[in-house]
Amino acid sequence: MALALVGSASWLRLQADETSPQAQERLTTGARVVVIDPGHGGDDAGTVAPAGMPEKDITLAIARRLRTALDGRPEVVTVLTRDDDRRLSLRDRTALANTRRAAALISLHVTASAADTLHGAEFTVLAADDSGGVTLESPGTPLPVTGGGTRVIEFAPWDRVALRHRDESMRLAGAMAAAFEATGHLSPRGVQSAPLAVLTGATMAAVVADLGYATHVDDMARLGSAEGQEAVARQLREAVLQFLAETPAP
Amino acid sequence: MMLTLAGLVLAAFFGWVLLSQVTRLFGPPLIPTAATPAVQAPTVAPTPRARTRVPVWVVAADGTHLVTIPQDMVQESSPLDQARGALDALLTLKPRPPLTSAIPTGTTLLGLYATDTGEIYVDLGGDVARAHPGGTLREVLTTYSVVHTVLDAMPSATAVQILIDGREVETLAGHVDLRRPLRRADHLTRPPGPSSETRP
Repeated sequence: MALALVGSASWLRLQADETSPQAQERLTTGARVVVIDPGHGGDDAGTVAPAGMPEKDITLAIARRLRTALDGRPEVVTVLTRDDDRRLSLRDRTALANTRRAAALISLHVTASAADTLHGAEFTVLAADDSGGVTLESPGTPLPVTGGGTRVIEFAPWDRVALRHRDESMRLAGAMAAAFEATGHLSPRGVQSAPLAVLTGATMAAVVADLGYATHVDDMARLGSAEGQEAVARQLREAVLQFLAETPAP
Repeated sequence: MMLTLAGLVLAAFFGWVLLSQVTRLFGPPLIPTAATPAVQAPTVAPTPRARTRVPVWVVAADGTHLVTIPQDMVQESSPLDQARGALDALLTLKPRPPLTSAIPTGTTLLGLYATDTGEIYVDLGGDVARAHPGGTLREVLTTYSVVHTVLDAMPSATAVQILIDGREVETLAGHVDLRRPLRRADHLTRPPGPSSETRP
């Protein structure tokens, strides 16, 4: 982790909204950080529709709109993993959310299929059945502490630590699915689980939000237009606020 | 007179016998016939190698799941060779529509390695990433078409890690975590349908 942070100093600069006096004040009064991750970037364009914006541009545009949509809410401070067209490793994106002690990590993507009839948004959490057979319910190890006595420390493999937050992640994904279902923009696949790299090692609720299919004409028209992007940002905003309202601060 | 005639007959007989033996000893070789086969080196008829059917996983018509297309191939004595054969079939297979291959065109198999703990490492050429069309779902299906094809061909294996150009990588196209071996994901699979046939 330390090496990853040193090597990624360029993106560690605080985002403007997080450093603003208003944001700092909100943080001192209990606001929680939500990290918005625009997928891909730089020489990694992501998936590209036959006629339409590349995935990296769609995700960045909607991330900025979501930040604006949440701006001013007293209970949330947003951080973008990238605010321009640059490549970031998935490890760095997760690390940023961890170092900000975020309550949620939302990684924005556009999916694609061999079947051009598939459409709608879908949401993925880390797959519990890919834990490699290692259970997280370990009894813990008592270790001596300063001043005497012991404290039970529970160890978990780093690449499976995100499974501790699976329930929270499912709630966040469920809130997003409900918001998109209400407008008829939810894929029949709804909420999925898979071993996605940006979710591995996240120590908070973490969801990959695939906002539509690059292989579906209507989805691309929506995601490529300012009106469509604004609508998607509003749906995500409602889901984030609902999730935070239902999630007590630690 | 009679004695002379008998002597001539006897001489002719012995002359015939002598001539036939000389011809046999010094004459041209006998041509073997079916009735009198000549002595020849024993030949071993080629024994047909046993064949088996190995499932190869492709994308179902709905675009969201994997289904199998059984491939007829030689029964290899080594499970690793059997898995190699199945992977070769997976990388070159052109399924009949509406089934599609999850593997980008031009993908090559560079190597296949097994650990004694049942983990298999599949080293693919870089085209699998360069030519991948992207998208979370498509990347999930590409990854697990490899994982399931190997695990079905090699039942003793427990997990599969994909390498690219001999190196461990973060992902194929920005989504699925390839930094560790992956187990089956049976929720991605469906039983084979009636259209599970290959195009010649």
